[in-house]
Amino acid sequence: MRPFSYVPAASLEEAVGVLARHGDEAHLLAGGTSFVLLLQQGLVDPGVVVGLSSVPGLNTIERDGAGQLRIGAMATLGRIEGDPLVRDALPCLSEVVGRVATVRIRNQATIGGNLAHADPAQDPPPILLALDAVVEAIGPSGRRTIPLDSFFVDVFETALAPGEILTAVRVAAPSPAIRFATVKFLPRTVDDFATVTVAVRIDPSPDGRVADLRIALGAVAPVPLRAVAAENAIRGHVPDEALLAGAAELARDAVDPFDDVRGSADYKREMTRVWTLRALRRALAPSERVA
Amino acid sequence: MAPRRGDSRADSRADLAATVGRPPAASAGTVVGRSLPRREGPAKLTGAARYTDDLIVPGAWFGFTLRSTEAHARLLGLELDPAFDWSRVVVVTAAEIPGENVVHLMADDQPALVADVIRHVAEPVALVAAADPATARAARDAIRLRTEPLPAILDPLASERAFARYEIGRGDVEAGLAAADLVVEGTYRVGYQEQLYLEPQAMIAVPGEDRGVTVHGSLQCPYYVHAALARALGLAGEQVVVIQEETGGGFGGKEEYPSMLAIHASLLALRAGRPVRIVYDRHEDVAATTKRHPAVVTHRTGVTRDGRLVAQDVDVVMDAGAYATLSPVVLSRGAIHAAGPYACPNVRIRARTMATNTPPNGAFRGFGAPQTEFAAETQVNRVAEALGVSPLELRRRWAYRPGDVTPTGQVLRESVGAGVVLERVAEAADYEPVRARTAEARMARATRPAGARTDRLDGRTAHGIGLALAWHGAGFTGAGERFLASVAGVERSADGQVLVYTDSTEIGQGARTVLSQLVAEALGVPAEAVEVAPGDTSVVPNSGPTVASRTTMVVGGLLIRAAERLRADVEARTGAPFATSYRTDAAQAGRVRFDEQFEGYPGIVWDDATHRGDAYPAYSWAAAVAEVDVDLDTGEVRVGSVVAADEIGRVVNPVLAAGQVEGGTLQAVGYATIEELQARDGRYLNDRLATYLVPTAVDAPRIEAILLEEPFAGAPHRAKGLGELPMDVGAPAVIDAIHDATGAWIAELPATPERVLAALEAREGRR
Repeated sequence: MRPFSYVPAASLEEAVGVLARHGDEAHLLAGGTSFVLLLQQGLVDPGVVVGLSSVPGLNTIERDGAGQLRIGAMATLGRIEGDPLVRDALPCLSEVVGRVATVRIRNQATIGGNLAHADPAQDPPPILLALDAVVEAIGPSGRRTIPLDSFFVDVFETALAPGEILTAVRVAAPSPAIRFATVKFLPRTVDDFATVTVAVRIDPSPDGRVADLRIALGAVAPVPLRAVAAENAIRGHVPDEALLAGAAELARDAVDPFDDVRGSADYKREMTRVWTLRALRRALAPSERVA
Repeated sequence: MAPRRGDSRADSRADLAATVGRPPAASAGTVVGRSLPRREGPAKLTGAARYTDDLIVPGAWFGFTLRSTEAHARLLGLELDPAFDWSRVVVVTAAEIPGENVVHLMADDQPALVADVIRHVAEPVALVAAADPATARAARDAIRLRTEPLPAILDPLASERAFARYEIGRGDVEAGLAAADLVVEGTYRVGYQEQLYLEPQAMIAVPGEDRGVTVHGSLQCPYYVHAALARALGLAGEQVVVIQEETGGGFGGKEEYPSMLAIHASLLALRAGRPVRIVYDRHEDVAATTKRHPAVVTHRTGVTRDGRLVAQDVDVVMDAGAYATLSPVVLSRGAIHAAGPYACPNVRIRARTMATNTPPNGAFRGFGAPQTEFAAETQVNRVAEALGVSPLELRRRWAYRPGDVTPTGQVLRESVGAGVVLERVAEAADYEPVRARTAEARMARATRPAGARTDRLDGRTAHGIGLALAWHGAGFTGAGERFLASVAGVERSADGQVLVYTDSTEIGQGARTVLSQLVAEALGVPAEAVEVAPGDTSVVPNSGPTVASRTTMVVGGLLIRAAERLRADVEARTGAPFATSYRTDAAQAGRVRFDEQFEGYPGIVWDDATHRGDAYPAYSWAAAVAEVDVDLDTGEVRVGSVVAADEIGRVVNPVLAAGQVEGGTLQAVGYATIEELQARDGRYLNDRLATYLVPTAVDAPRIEAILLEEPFAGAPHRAKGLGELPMDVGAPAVIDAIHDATGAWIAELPATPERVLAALEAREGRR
């Protein structure tokens, strides 16, 4: 690590300007929970660090005119977990961010940093994928939105252009009939990264069929991803155990995990099957709310 | 972690006596047996305690270590980047070592800095220091090692070089096995375990005016560091001072490596002519310092149809790593305990510890015994299954009783607690009733049709209960204590203070509190009247290292005898009880100090050459019952509870003793389930806290500690050792519980979900 200069940005425009001036030399700092580790391990070596915590309003959580929930990039996971708007409209998201690491991490880590870091083992992306979230970004060529579905490109790599800053994530509040289940398989310690995470969203139709659904997976591929084949197998059908078991096998075949201390790639594939099946069962379980 | 029934951490002799079922020991007074608070506790709680890295040393430079990245290579030279400004730093290589280039311990084979051959990854090759850390790090990164690779041996089973080999035994094993009705064979493997003390290794060296050096550091054994420094720096003993600062845990991990750090910091300090501090970060600490030895243990056990134990043949192979460190004595302790606490007429234990091109392994709570006792207990539980006998019942028949003979030929004359820990733990854990219920559930699962696996939202889980028993020799093995000839003393100072002199270190286990309780009781004064002298080798004598569960038993015994002499001396002069006269006597008699030197326990005889005789003056005994839930679809194991009964002769401080049992049990649960350090090409793959995990407080099972007393007459206070004991028994109890839940045996620690799932699938495949 070499000495770097720190620029507390007073506005997004200033941050964009500094990034444009310094190019690869500059690095953004949100909550720092991942950035500082990368710095310590020598995986990033910036000359200029641009702080975002001084940008006013970047941590706002609000409901916009279209009824969508807009979560500012600098909102911490702890803040999202406890926010009344999130708890009311998206209890499934509150639940997921409340399971990230430890309370100390959650009080520091931000949703924007979490998404932009693009570590495939992070917890929030699968549930946000299941919610069809979009992210907002600002860069040298202005503002744009990117569907989260096309945001993650590879390990630590996103669709953000050089010099672009993720500013918010936007989610439509789902209707009360829509059901969610999220699981985080943590066989070692409570503060470990997940071996596999699954988020399932079921949009039921009155005739007992599944009108639409999302199955999103984390920690089992270079990027968080949707198990599209598994979704297709269930969409339009009345779910029974055999259908769910078949879909879980399709989810297993869709992933591409790494071998690591949490298990071999084969084991993680099998766990994808087991936990997808369990998440589907939970999402479809009659009425009771399962944590 | 609240105890389930009763309060085993009760703060009174009366409760303990009830637990033990016998009257308090004859010498029970008002100080020993009470849960006095830890002396250094408030400072640690409030943040006032100053650890080595907290010390402000004006003008001190920052030292860093350049390490090898190859497992085995010839070192051809070091290239210093000519573009770097070397005037701002000092660099030390092997050529600049004024004394002998060894880290003095047993074999003197480990260099302080590589001179010609690199023998493992992360081996220290050169040292740099500068006024600020960034410059020092940059200097380190500006040195390139020129090397020529050599073939590396990474598998201990493929190594042909042993640091030690032992064969222990009695009777005729082959004849015993031939005569047995049933021979059960098993091979067990255990991997590395990291001590993971809270405070990483740290040392500050301050050069003296006489070319000598004073080091301040986080360490367990001041005189080990002292001897190593004198040797490597070519200094006389009196030119070297070692001061133990507040130390954030050790678990054996600060027994060997602090000598290396002290030499490194001192070399830089002498070179720079100013103080130098070396503080490892967690990554360097895990990557470079010692681990628990991986081992492969093979058993052949012969029994008769009616369940008598007639022969045990045990083979132990430990991976020592690249240098001997303490591996020969780790192996010795592991071998002596390898047959478990069971009477057997024909025993053979063959053990060897092999050189590999991996970082040296070393001391860790239990010191070889957790590896071999995991194997021994799992083997006994498998024999119980083969015989169709309850593991508790089989141990009732086999466990040592007074008069039994151990594999080294030692007759166990007294203080044999195997029976009492078994019975108490079985009762407290409802062992047999719970076991009957888990057996029923297992039968019901086995007879259920295959399609019924989907009857629950979250798949299938199974509950199991497991039992294990262990013994642990207290103090150094064999003649070790006689060789150490430890000294400890008690002083009444000229200003009327009582001071304890020992180099036994406080590393979070409560040594200062317990030793002052023992001295206070012997003197008949309150514990608060006793001060403990600072851990500074210019002040305190060599009482031996703070290891081997020896501090309370051995050093405590010496201090009691010294205190008794002091008391007699003062009372002879004043004609009044010590408590009321020692302050006034100070005015006339001035400073009075009595030192005691260890001279051996009565009747204890050991022959190092043949490894026969009384391996330890006494043994402590532990039994544990673990309950687990196993997820049959994922292999995940949740340890719900552990009930542990530990018999330690005499409980000096119940809260501290229960704390040792709880902490040791949790460390053993981690060893059993999640603590796995993976290695490839001689390098640890997960040498960071993000990847090497230990159980957190949230993950901890409910732990109930039951403390029991079978007095040991050889010690004046009747106490035996405790620190390591709980580490021996937790892992096999968890593995037995996994078997009880699932029918599958896990023969390799840790029982990761993937390993458990593979064992379940192998079992289902067989059916």
